[in-house]
Amino acid sequence: MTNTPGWWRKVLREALAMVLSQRVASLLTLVLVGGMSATVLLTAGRTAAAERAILSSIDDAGSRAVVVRAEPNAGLDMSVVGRLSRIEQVEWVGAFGAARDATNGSTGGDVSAAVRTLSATNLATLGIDHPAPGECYASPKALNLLGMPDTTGYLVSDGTPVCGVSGRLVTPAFLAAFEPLIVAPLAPDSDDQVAVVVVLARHPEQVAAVTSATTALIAPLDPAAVSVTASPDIARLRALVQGQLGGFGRSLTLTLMAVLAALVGALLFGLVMIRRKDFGRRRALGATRSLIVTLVSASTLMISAVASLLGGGVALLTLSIGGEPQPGWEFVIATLILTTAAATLGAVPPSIVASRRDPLTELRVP
Amino acid sequence: MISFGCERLAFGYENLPSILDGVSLTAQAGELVAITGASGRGKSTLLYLLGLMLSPRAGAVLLDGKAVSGLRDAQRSALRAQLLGFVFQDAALDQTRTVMDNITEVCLYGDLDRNKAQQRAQRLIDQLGVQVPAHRRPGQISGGQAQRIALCRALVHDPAVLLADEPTGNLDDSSAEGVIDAMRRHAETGRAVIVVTHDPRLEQACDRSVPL
Repeated sequence: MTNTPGWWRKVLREALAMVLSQRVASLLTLVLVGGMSATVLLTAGRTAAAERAILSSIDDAGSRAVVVRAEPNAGLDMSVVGRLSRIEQVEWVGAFGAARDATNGSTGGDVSAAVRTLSATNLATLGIDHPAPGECYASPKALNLLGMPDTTGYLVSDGTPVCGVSGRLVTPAFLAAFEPLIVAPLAPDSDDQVAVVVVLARHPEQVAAVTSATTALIAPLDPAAVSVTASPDIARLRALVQGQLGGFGRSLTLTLMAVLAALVGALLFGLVMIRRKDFGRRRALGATRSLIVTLVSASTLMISAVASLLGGGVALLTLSIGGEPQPGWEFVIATLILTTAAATLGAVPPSIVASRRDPLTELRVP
Repeated sequence: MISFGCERLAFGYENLPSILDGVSLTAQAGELVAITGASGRGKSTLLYLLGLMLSPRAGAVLLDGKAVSGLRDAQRSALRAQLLGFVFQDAALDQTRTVMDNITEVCLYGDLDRNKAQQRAQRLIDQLGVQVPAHRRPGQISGGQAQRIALCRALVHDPAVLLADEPTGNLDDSSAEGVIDAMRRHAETGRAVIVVTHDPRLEQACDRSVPL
């Protein structure tokens, strides 16, 4: 009969009844587990959130970008984009032509900004959709500089029209060095010469591999006319931050979980000692040892699950009110599961003690 | 079930001398048997041995001639849940649960439908004249009522063998009569009932006595 759905329904109903009937003990367990869940999120969770924010800042600073600079005699054309995009670890490739200083042709202003042709694997990364020949796109900074707040007008270079400004682009963090950025998108099959190629690795730890693969694939006519630079220092800094903050968070979480399991174990051990007659009676009436262990563990699991959610909610609310960075949802869910599991695990030793209560010792009246 | 009892049963705590030695007893189906004797002779211990809660030093507990005291713990637990009913000396009710929860507790341990058990529990409460609402907690009822609730709990799964330790010890005459009557009626349905008692009223109601 055991392990059937009907049996589990009975066991869970009884476990719930135990939770509700032992209010003080249940409340203590609830406070303990909820408090620990909140503590983990407010300490290790805050560390994880800080780690995430720092890593994001480092990534924004270009730790994933590999930049290839080519002299005019390097013989590097826009077909390099297709070759480099085949590298598995690459997320984005953009090849820029040589920069040309251009001014606002509509107003005849004398402030200039650099216009570059661009062929890229995905122009949507810059917020550019369906560009047409002769169009160019400018960042807000460039538009401001050229006096084109309404994104209309055209650019001229040495008195010759270069392109019509058709829209505003979004400058990703890894292209921040090109600001004020103005690009004239090229067709993918263009054979224009390339001055700069930006290759974005999917993960910072893949930068070294991407750098090697890029160097091998660009195949310039004159290798001396090409330089490939990455950001190894930033990548190293990223690894350092991730290792130290991540390691601290993990060891703090594990320590808190061990403390939680020990505290729940001690609390339940006390409860078992107080209610040893109850467990002796259950054994006398036919409860198996495994059923007693299941009942105590299941009732702890129920309280712990509710307590973890409550504690987690309070912690996230506290972080939110304090305007602090929030840990990711994966961290929150993992913490709630881990807290519930640690508390339930802590309940196992006292539940085994409960299952070994001797009916004669507990029930016999002297 | 045809018969239940023990053969040449011996028991002692750890290295201490045996407090029971060579005890044999049989209760046939339909029989109400009293275990009597002075205090300290091991009557309650014998009852717990028969209830498969203790392991004998020698001898065996027999169910229809088959030794069951040597079974594994889980098997003995299953027998307690399905075939045996036990009335403890002090009722041993769970103070945190209602009267109905206490009576139907055995549903969890044996193969018994909870709804049917609740209906049967209500019938037993009425039969034994407990006159206590089923939602009350043991702290809100008298000792006599608690003892009769404990009897309801022992009978709710209609056990083949009812074992009772001084079931009338704390009861007034009228309550004791109700309990004795209920055990008598249970035996008459073809079940075996074994009681430990000092109460002459109960001893008199039994088919026979086994002195220790």
